[in-house]
Amino acid sequence: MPIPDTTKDVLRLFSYGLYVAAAIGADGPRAATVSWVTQVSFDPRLLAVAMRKDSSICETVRASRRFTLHVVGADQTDFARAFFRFSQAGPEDIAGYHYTVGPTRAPVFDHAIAWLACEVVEEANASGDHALFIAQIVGSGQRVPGAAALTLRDTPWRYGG
Amino acid sequence: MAVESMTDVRDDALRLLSNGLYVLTTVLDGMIHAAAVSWITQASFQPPLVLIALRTNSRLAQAVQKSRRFALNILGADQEALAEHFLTHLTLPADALDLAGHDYRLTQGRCPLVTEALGWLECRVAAEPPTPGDHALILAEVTGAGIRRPGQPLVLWRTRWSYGGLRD
Repeated sequence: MPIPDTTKDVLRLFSYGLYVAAAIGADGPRAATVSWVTQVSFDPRLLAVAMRKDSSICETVRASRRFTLHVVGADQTDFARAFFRFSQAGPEDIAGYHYTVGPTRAPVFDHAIAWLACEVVEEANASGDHALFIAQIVGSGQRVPGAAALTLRDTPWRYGG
Repeated sequence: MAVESMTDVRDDALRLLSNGLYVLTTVLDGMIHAAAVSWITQASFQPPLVLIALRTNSRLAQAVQKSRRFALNILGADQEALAEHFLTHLTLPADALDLAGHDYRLTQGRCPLVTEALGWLECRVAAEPPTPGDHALILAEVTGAGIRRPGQPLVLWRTRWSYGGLRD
């Protein structure tokens, strides 16, 4: 048997970015900060995103089948922190961050340095505590060309182990 | 803001995803297989699961799908030169003395561990989720782990290499 703390320590050596996922469900728009993300295919371009099964973003993405994944910039820790917990959503903003709804019918925040519009093609991970969405990238935008992305290691936060 | 569908734009956004760089090892039919991999994320706390994407029908994907066990060696920030030795798939007899000049030992599950690495995970394949993509998905439960020394891990975008966006 592994020593649980060692497993945790090693899993925390994995490298992650920080992203804000946003989707629109029956109860309105939802947004949450996620980090368990990786590309999983070149052609078609697919991402895998893991979301805690009891979270409202997970339920919203499961229902809407589409979401926007926003890349948090290296100097945007506040943007990531704003979506750690459920945030009040209005018709034009969530937690004070303005968004528009693009052709993919998911919120796109003005603040993100870059974003990917995603459509869920598979859901996996029945045995785990996170749902694993495999999503096709159907659009993207980059607001600040050349901007660097925030990495989880460069923040005080940990999500792993 | 309009949705951009230009290839270069989409690529730029995809290349902002942060990934590490790891050496995956497994043993199948008396042969050691080892190669650098990058598309990895944890996928569950309880049970501890990791997701790995491996090019469909690659020798590495086939070896993992058959052996059902593998190790992930986490490299240190100063081990780019070591990583370079595993950028192409390495196949060696299971009694090889070293892996591309690097010492190794076997886990209880007979997965080779590069002894210079910062740490390692031993994993058992739990599921192969379906995907329409060009990489096979491996969802694996962590069955063992070790850390050898403190240090910062190797991060893909700090190396000369990239693996993301459009195939390069």
